[in-house]
Formats: sequence, structure tokens, C-alpha cells
Amino acid sequence: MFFHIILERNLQLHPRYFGPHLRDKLVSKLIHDVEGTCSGRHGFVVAVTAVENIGKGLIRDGTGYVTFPVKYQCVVFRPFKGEILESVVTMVNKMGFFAEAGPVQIFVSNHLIPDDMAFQAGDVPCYETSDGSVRIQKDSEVRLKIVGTRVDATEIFCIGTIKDDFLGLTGDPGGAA
Amino acid sequence: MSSIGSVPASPSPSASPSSSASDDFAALVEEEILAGSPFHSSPDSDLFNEKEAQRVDEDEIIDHENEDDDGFEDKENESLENESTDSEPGASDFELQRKRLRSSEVVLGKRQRGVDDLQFNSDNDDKIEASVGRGGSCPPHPGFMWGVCIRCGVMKPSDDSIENGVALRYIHEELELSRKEAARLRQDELKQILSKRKLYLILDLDHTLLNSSRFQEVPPEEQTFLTAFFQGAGSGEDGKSTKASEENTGPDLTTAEQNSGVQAGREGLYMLPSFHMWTKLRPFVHRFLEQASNMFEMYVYTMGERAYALAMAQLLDPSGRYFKGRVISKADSTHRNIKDLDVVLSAESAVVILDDTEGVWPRHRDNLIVMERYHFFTSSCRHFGLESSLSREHKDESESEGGLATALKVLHSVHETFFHDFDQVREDCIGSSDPVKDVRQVIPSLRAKILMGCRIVFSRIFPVGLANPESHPLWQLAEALGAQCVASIDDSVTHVVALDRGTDKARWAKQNGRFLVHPSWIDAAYYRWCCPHEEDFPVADVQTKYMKLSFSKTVDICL
Ligand SMILES: [Zn+2]
Repeated sequence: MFFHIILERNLQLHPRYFGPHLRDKLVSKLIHDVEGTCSGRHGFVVAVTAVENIGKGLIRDGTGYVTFPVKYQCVVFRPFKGEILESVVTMVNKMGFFAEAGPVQIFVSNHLIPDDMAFQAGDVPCYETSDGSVRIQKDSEVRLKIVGTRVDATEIFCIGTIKDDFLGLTGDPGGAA
Repeated sequence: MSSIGSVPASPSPSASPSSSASDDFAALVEEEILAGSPFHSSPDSDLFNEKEAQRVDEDEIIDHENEDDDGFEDKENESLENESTDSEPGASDFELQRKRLRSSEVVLGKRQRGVDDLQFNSDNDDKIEASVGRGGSCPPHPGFMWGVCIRCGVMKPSDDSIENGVALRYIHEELELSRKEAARLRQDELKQILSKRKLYLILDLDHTLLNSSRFQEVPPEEQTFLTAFFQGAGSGEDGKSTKASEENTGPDLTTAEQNSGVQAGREGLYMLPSFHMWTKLRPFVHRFLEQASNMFEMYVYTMGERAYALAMAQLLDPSGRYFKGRVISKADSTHRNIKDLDVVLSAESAVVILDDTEGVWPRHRDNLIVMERYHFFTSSCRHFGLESSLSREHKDESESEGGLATALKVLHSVHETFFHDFDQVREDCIGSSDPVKDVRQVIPSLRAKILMGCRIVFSRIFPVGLANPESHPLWQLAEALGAQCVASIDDSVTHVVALDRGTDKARWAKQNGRFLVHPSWIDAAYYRWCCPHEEDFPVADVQTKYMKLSFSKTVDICL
């Protein structure tokens, strides 16, 4: 799920940037530092949307660097148990398949793949119904539901299921939905 | 990074991975409402276990069931306001909290409305619990990925020790399966693979498919030879690749090879600077893999390190079509210095193993086809106490009559016999779904045909006074090969095995026109899977240890 939240961060800046473009520099550093990062609590920082406030800088003893407390708005993405996600399959094996929803890695084990879909090894491994009408392989688009997550300080992993109504294949490789 | 609700100076919540309880969105919101802070991780949250989270979840749904949507929203906001006065959020915090809750309201609202909502229908949750499939429900958990159960999604309980499971790092770094689940997968797989008329083949790397030698173990004269051989006197393609290796960026090197700095020479000789190593692929290996892949799903299983195993797999199978994702190395083994099929997701009745070392497979000897060791490099021979090497003699195994060509023939017969019997048994008992045929019967039965019809007498092979010669390894080997061993000479004896010509039995053989062979004749039969020409294994006048360079045919290398 996406959230628009306010976060704070202390940015350290070298004195050579002090000048008319100080604010720009801080903003670009902020974006560089936080976008794409992940914290267990907030999830993945997708985009910084606004800088609310930049506090007074504090000179660090001995280095000359200055620390600015920056308060900013950003969009974060945090998966939750029970959530439905659209994802793209990245790898298929006999244990199940891996998929990605943006930055989140999801594993769907064959326990949570409908029983009428069987694993087919081969050049392009896949899960397929016996009549061949539904086929999940690498790059397939799949709608799944999160059944469990592991949240670390810097990473989030999910276990998903497609064994339910309205879950499963939504698009074949190539994006023709 | 610090959230608004907590003290700004506090570091990111790296202290402890938060419990899965807080991953459940509803539980998280509940928690927040209690604590009055977004994403607040209460100290209790780590003590939360999944069941409690679930309970909180359900309580919540029950709580709200009697309220209409508006009432629900009001309640949430109220509780937010009430609670947040206890903590000390700033104005913007409050805004944020409202925002956060607005998005959560959507979710909770949906949860609560339930009936016709697909996504957060609580009934749906129950259905998942009930329909968890491919047999059984949690616990016991079938396995864990990233420490999360692959069926029910709970965190791995701390008391669920690794002893109950098999880590399958070669499939995925973080995957671990219970033994029961592994057994289930094996049975599932077996049906599938048999329907494709395939079996499993486990391939050892060193001395079976290839031979490697570290740079520093290569003697100077061998170095000269290798360099010449590597670059080739070359014409055509060979010449091109030589040039390429010198410049280190050849158009005919694959990208992967360029990245790892691997340089390809002639006839499967490679230089791997990152490993400080020469590697020579066994002649015939590419044809072998191609043809074996039609009959088998193949694994590589080596006692080498993972990086080495993957580098070798890359040389043997650049496109990854033979054993991608099925490369098992030292770290994957469940026992030190022992290879076991427990890490292989294949039914043992359908596995053929190709390895040069019988000792590492204590549980699976009947699955094993022992390969004659491929020693190309001198250092490799020295490790086994042998004097000469193919490289030193400027020789290599023959393509058509080398170890791998022999192995391929054996694999063909194993496959053919297995499925011939398989089909027959299936016809005999239609409806029975038992795994009907076992490779562990097929391999010994084929082996027992090799020396069938030979009656062997041993002459001074065994220590004097050995109580029961039947237990001697050579006796047992000969019998496993289908020969009949007898203790004393009679008319039916066909072969006398001796170390020198001077014994009574050896003389009897000469006088009566029976074969007199050196004991290595039996070894040759074992490795070559045929009755070897007796003339190639003569017995000298005086006792010799007789060491052949190779039972397989060798050919000269022309520089
Ligand atoms: Zn479970």
C-alpha cells in the first residue's frame, strides 16, 4: 500500500556547497539518499514529494561538515498481509515462483498456486493448467495476495498466494493484458 | 531516518526486525491507535506472536460488525483524537496521522463491509486457511522462504530448528524445506518426470566431467606444454580465439567469459585467472551432456565451493539449459564430506549418479556409476599418488572411447532397461500407482552382465591364510560384475587372475589354454562396462604392480 508521509532526516553537507544554491543541493542530496531505500517500518521510499522544512545547520566538530535536519514529504510503499498486489513474475521453479511488485520481492509457493496448475520444467519453466489455457511463466503479470511478510531493518520479503478467486494471471509476457 | 511520531534523533528502527504481527495491516493500525503514533512500534510488538495478531484482527472485525460505515469512521477518528492527546504529536503529526488513517479507513472499511468485497474479505482469509493445499495444513510448516512459512505466511518459530529441514540454497539462498515436504515434492516430481520418460542424473565435476589445476601446481615443463596447447598451432577458429585471449577481449568470447576473465583455448582447455586455475573439460563432454539431457534431468553435485561450481557449470553449460538452478556444492550438503540425495529433490529410485569417488556416497552405492578418474594435469595425478598424467605424456582421452562415451552408453542402457521394465510392470498391474521400477535394481543388474560367463580363479592375490576369500574386495567386485569366482581350479575355469606367471595356477592356465590376466583386468571391466581384451592385461614374468595410464583409450595431442 502507498502512503504519503512526513519523514525527517539529518543531512551532512560539505562546506563547499554553502552558497546561493544550498537549498537545491540539500534537496538533491535528500532525493539521492532516500529514494529507493527501504526501511522495515515505512517500507520503500518511492518519491520525495516536498521538503517541508530545513532546520538550522549544526557544524560538526573537527570536520567542518554541517548537519541539517530536513523534514520532507514522501510517498512510501509498504506491503501488508492481506493486501492485493499486481506483480510481474521473475523466476519459476518447482517450488513455486518469484514475483516483483515494484521493489518488493514476493514468493508464491506451489502450496498457494491452484491445484489445477502443474509445474512444467523445460526451457521456459511454468505453471500451467492441464488444458493449457492459463500459463504462468517469467514476465507474466500476476495478481496475488500477501499472506505473510518478513520485515527487516532494510528489506521486506513477502509470501503470496494466487489460490483464491480473482487472483492469478492477469497478463501474458509482453504486457498484452 | 526517523518518523514524526517518534523522537527525531532516534535511529531507524534497525534494532530488531519487527514481528510479523505488525505486518498485518489491521494489527498495525490497531497498534497505532493504541499508541497514538503512526508506525509506532510498541515494545510489546516484538512479543506479539502471529496468533495474537490474528486474534486482534478478528476481534476488530467482530467489533465493527454491528456498526455502519459512518459509525466506524467516527470511532476511528475519535479513538485517534483521544489517544493522541496522551502522546505529544505536533500539528503536522496530527495531519499526517489523519492522512494515514484515511487510507487505513479505506482498508478497514472494506474489511468490515466484507461480504461483497473481494480484496479484504475476512471470509477469504478463512478460505485460505481451509484450502491450503497440496495436502495438509500448517503446522507443521512445509518450509520457509526468508524465514516465513511458504504456506501460511507466519514467521518461522524459533524452536523449529534446522535439523527438521533441508536448506536448499542452490535453489534459493533463503529456502528451507521440511523433510516431509521434500518427500512430497519428490513423489510429485517422480510422476511428472516419468511421464516424460526421463530419469535424474547427478554429475560430479572434478575427475568426472573435467579436471582442474592451480597455476602454482603446474610444473614448468607442463606450463610450456599447456601454453602451447592453449594457443594452438591453430588455424581457423582456433587461431582467432588465441588472438582473442591475448587481447583479453575477443569477439568470440561470450559476455560472461569476458566478465569473469575466463579465456577459452583449444579442445576444452580454459584459463581462469580469477581462480588462478587451468581447467580442462573431459573430451566428449558436450556431446555427452546434450545426449544425456534427452534422457535425464541433470544436476551438478560437487564437493567444491559454490563459486567454483558455478564457474564450471558456466563452462559446461553456458546457456544454462542443462542444469541451471541445479548446481549443488559443498555448502549445500547436509553432512561434511558426504554427498547425499537428501538435498536433491528427486526420488531415489529414479536417480543415477556419475562420480569418480564411491566413498562419498555411502547411502547411494546402487545409484552410482563409478567413473574412471580423468587426470589431465600432473598435479591431479599427484593428489592420487600417480606418477604420470595425460598432459605430461601429451595425450588426452579419446572422444569416442573415453570415460564419458562409455558412461553415455551405460546411461542409455539404464534408461532403456528402466522404462522397458517400467512399461511392462505397468501393463501387468494397471491401476496400481506404486513406483514400480527402481534404478537401484537396474544398475546392479546391468553391471552383473559385464563378466557373465567368466569363471575366475585367483592365484596368490589374497594374503596367505585369508579365512574367507569371498569377502575380499576383488572377489566381490568380480562377482558384482557377474563372474563366478571359485577357490580352486577345475575344468570350467575360464580366467586365472595372477600377479606373476610362476604360480601353479598360472602355469595351469597356460597349459590348458585359459586366460591368464592381471587383476587390473577386473578394474578395467568395472570402468569400461565390457569384458576387456585379455591380451591387454598380460601377467609379467616377475610380479608387477602394472599401472596403466588409463583404462579408457587415449590419443596423442598434436600441437
Ligand atoms: Zn505454515
